[in-house]
Amino acid sequence: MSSNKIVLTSSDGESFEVEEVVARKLQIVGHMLEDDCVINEIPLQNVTGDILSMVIEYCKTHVDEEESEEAQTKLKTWDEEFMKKFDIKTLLQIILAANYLNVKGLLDLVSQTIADTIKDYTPEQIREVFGVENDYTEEEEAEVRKENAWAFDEADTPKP
Amino acid sequence: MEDDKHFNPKTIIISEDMVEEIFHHLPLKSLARFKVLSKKWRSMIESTYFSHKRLVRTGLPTPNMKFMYVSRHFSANFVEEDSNSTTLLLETFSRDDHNNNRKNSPSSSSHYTFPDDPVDKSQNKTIQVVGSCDGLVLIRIYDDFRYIYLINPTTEERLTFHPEFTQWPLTFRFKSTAMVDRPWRQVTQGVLHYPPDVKIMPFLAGFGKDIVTKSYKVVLMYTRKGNHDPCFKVKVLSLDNGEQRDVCFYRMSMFIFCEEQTSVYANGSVFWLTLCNSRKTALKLLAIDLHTEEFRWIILPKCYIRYDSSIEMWNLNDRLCLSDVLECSNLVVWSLQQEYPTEKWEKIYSIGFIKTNQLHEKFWMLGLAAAYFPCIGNHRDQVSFFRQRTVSYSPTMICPSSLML
Repeated sequence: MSSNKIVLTSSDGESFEVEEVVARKLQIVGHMLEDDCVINEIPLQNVTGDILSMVIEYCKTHVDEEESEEAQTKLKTWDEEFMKKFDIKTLLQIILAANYLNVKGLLDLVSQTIADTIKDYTPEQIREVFGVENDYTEEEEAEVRKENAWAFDEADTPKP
Repeated sequence: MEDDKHFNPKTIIISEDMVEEIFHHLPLKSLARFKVLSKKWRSMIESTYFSHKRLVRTGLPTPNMKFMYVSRHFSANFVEEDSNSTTLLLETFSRDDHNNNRKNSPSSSSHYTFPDDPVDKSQNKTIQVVGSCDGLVLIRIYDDFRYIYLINPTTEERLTFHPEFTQWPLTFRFKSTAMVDRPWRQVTQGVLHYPPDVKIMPFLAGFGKDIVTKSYKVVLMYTRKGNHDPCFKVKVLSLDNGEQRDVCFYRMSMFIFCEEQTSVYANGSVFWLTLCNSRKTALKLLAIDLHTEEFRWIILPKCYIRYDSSIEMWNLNDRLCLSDVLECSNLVVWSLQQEYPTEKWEKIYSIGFIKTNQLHEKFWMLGLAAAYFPCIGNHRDQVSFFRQRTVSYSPTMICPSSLML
């Protein structure tokens, strides 16, 4: 059963042949396989080939998650190295894919990586990255800034 | 679809759900800064919904656990007669700051000024932490609880409550308990002869969350004769609507509340330590389920049944924990795992410490840093005083005034 191959096709027509156990890490695929067990080619509409290949790389590495501390540490190191390769734009594409394909572990990993990347951003940078519309008046915004002044200090004044 | 085709290279449009998912992983300082993004994001970040999801996501709240110490602040040129307000100094301590500078200095301190009661300035002041839940801390200043304050030490926001006076009726039905029975059982009509015109204020309170409806509640306990009155009346103040409701009368013979130990909220209930009236030994815990608003008894682990009051209770990962923290050579931490059909206490930690003059890493891990605060400041003789004024909490961004609709 484990040697059964499944072909995953991206929105731009790229195909990936993977083992069924790997494909099942994508819960969207897992559900499809449960509904109808004879599928061996699955089209994935909302994800491009380059992003899908990264998701598959993650799933291959995490295919058998061992309990031992040693294996866990090794996986964690791999996760960190894996995430280092991507810029914020790619990370955002991966989070969308991880959500659509329903890969829980990857979703958490990418969310944490993005959070670590943006945690020191200014509100202006965040608005730009996530397309947030500012609906405060100038006075209102100044007020909120004042109330939360402690959260801004680090950027402005170096610590003694 | 359109967005997918022509996003500018810097902006990828991702849904708000996904942004929220990412925000759950942010530290509180970033979240406070991002309240500036927009009105919508501000109310999201301040909501209890967001805080709960975030706490669940980060799993164990312990690594971020802080503790706070509240005291009265006197300015340099303070003159008692001229003052018509009380200022509290609230200092918070965190593991990170403790590790970084190896000192026992607070990581933040803030002042809160409250106007004194214009009618009765002679009120005795008793500064005390009444309870804590989801990063919010309930504090009282006066002996009679006429004002209580809900503070979020993280955001420094606060809200004031005025518990109502209550009148003691001539006759009332009460619930009572016998030594052998665990649950309270309804008993006969009690008749008590009290002057009916006496206005009574609470002598004890607790704070927590109804885990079914998610609403926050303050439990207020009233007696005629302080802690030694066998009868007490209970009111519940719902933060949803500010309503104060009578719940029931109770009769608790043989036991008194241990006033040194702050009530502890865990997993939908508020717990109080009670002592046997005659021997002053810790015997049982009294708990109220904040959903059903029913009281129940909980038996302590065997080794504590005949014990004095040095037992410390606190909340660790939403479980009630207790320990004799002065027993440093063999510190044992117990956690209440289940109550039905019988109490199951699990020993979750056991270690011997030689010195307590610094906050050991393990104290932070176990959520016990607050309990050892008096020891590190060489205030061992005043432990009970400090116990009333320190509390551990898991920081959140919940805005106290947004709880009230």
